[in-house]
Amino acid sequence: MLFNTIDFVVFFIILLTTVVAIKHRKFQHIFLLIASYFFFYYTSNYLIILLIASTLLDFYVGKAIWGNKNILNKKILLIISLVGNLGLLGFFKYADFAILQFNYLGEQFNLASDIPFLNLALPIGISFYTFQTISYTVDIYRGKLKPSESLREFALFVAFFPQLVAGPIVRASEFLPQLREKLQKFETNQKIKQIIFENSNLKLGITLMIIGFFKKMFFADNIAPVANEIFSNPYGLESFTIILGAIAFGLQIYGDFSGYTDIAIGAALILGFKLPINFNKPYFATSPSDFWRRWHISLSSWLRDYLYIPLGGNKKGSKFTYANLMIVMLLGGLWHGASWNFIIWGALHGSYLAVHKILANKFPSLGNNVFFKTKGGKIISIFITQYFVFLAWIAFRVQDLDAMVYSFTKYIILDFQIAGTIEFILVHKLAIAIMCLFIIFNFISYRKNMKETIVNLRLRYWILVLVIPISLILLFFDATPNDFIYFQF
Amino acid sequence: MNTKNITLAVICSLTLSTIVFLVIIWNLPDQLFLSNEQFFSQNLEDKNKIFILGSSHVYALNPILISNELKKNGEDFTVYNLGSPGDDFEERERTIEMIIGKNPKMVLYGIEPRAFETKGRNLVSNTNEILPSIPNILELFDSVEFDKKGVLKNPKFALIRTISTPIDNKDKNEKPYENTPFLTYDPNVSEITDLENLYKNEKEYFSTIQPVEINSNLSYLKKIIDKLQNNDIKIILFITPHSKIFLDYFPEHERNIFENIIKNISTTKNIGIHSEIDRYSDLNVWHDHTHLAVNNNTNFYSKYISEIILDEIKK
Repeated sequence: MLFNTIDFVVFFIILLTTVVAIKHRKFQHIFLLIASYFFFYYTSNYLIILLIASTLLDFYVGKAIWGNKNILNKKILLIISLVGNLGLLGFFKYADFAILQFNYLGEQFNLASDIPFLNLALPIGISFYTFQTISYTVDIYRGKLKPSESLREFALFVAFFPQLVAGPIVRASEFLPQLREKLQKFETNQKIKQIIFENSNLKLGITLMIIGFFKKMFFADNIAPVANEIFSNPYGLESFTIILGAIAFGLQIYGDFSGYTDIAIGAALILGFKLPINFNKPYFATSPSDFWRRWHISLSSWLRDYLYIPLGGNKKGSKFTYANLMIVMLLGGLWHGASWNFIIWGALHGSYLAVHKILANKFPSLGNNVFFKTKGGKIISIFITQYFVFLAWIAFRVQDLDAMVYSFTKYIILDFQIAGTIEFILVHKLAIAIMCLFIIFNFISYRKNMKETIVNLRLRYWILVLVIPISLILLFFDATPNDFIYFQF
Repeated sequence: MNTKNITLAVICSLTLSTIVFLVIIWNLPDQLFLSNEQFFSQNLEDKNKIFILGSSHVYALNPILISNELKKNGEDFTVYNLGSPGDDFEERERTIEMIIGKNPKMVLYGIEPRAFETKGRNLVSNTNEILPSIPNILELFDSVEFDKKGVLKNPKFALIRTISTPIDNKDKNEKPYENTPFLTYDPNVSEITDLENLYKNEKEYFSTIQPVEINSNLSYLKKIIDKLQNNDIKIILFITPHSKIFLDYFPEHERNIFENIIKNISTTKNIGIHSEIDRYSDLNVWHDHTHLAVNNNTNFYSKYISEIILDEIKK
């Protein structure tokens, strides 16, 4: 079920009404679990079996790891969990990609290998929920987390519908205590009038959801045709058109993904759950590492904790650090999809991080330079960083390798022709105007915490402020909505 | 501040927004709908009507010439070319009831690969369902006639069309031929561009054509076909001709998808599909990659369509 559909609005209203009507928390959680399964089933049909299988596997393996004193047995159990989760992910997401590469290599060496493709349906959200369950068992193995005693609680953690299909990737240590804390309150017979709702959460949650819908349905979906038109066949296009396409895609994916995240966080908040933030003004990052502290934060922190640090992080000398950064970002790229363009995107970001680290090590005074602390210095840092970030978006967007190389070349080596670009802008004036509006929107958000400002408004002003995005959402409502980009991952 | 107040505030916001939305939508002219309403409100007295639908790719079809060709062969039909620049299936589906209301004997729809391009458009969600599926809530609204203008189903397209129409508005009164209510005379399209110049000067843009399973354009075309067939109106699809340059640059992957789409329509809807995509590709008759120049040299296109109609009548 897509968030940007009437179906979801109806689903969410029924869900809220029922949750309010059920006064017993335990039953509320059961209801939320059933609703989450329904949410998943609505889109994914029988693929829900994988979600349930992953839940059962990690619940029991987690318990077994915790209860086992023998290190070797713990390790074996952890491996079972990893093989189970990564096996599912690998099989459903990467099998055909692997077959393609195998067949290609076979062709190169005249081995006449022609393995047929499996053409498996990609289970929605598999990349997200497998990462959540992996973090659960690994944390138990590391002794950082006590396993959940209740299958119901654990299943709700894995399947909680707001974050189920596209994150944020929630850690059990962040989510499970929220369930327990409230249950404990309930069991100690504390009087709780509204079992789940809290007014501050309600107002913030609603604001976040509306901003999320606005980002997705008004900005991202209306900017998308610019990027699609340019990158569907970039050959022959001028440098400035390619740059325009890269900016359009960068804005589209940000509006799309951060919009989804805002809706998820908002919906969860209304239901009384706090999900971690996933974006923090990424296009104002002043360095590649700063970018990754601001973009898809739940993924980058997951990769740091469960991949980069176990690989040795920056503890084994600079060469290993660079190698580790490359490995992590390559795998991070591959996580997005079984395609070379995502690997290239990951490699680009890995190299940005490594080069940035090299520069920081070689010229430590550069980082402390007063100039970079000034406004002008910051602006220059932002522009340089974003130049490379948007270059990498080309790799993310363009699957055809020749078209990607052409686009890179035009992006890097400017041809200073503008006739075609002007013509393109004139044809897509509405989309371009919306792009400009989104840039202004982000700039205001950078200067001022827009969400907080809106939430803190008095109720009558709050009503009026919400009318603007809701009206635009309605005016740009599309009966057959665009998928969220991150649903495919 | 309590929950009740916040809930009331949300309801107020939604109500106000809905009012704003309705006021804007109702007051902005929906050009597509209005122009269709204007034409179809006329009393088209001819009993035997044939409608040709499509985008600018059917511009070169002269309905009078086609009618005359049919008459020469003893068939008395009035042909209307209802092609409209930028026609797309989703928009056409909104007005198909008006076409049905005029009870034509036959509808010919000129289609082409680009009509199935994504262009940032939507995909039809589709999973291989093994367990029972749940009906889409929006589909339940389809049976409710609350929307006279057809705008509420998809305000976005009406809005974008409305915003862009005043800017693109030319003199729309002059028509290339009679019985072409939605086409505007454009003297430039009579010019033939040399094939070599086409190769040199023009770049061909392609957007992605999504596969059969998720192509929303296809699903709208199928809806149109279903509605016409349910009203006993014969529908014929023909693939409009394209130049050699277009065909040379047409990516193989997209071509395969387009062929699958055609195969899918033909098998699932049991209708005749006539392909002329490469029929005139080598001739020096092209205005651009995908449009025949409109002059006396390209009357063969209209004649060919009349042959298709005659074949279909005989069936």
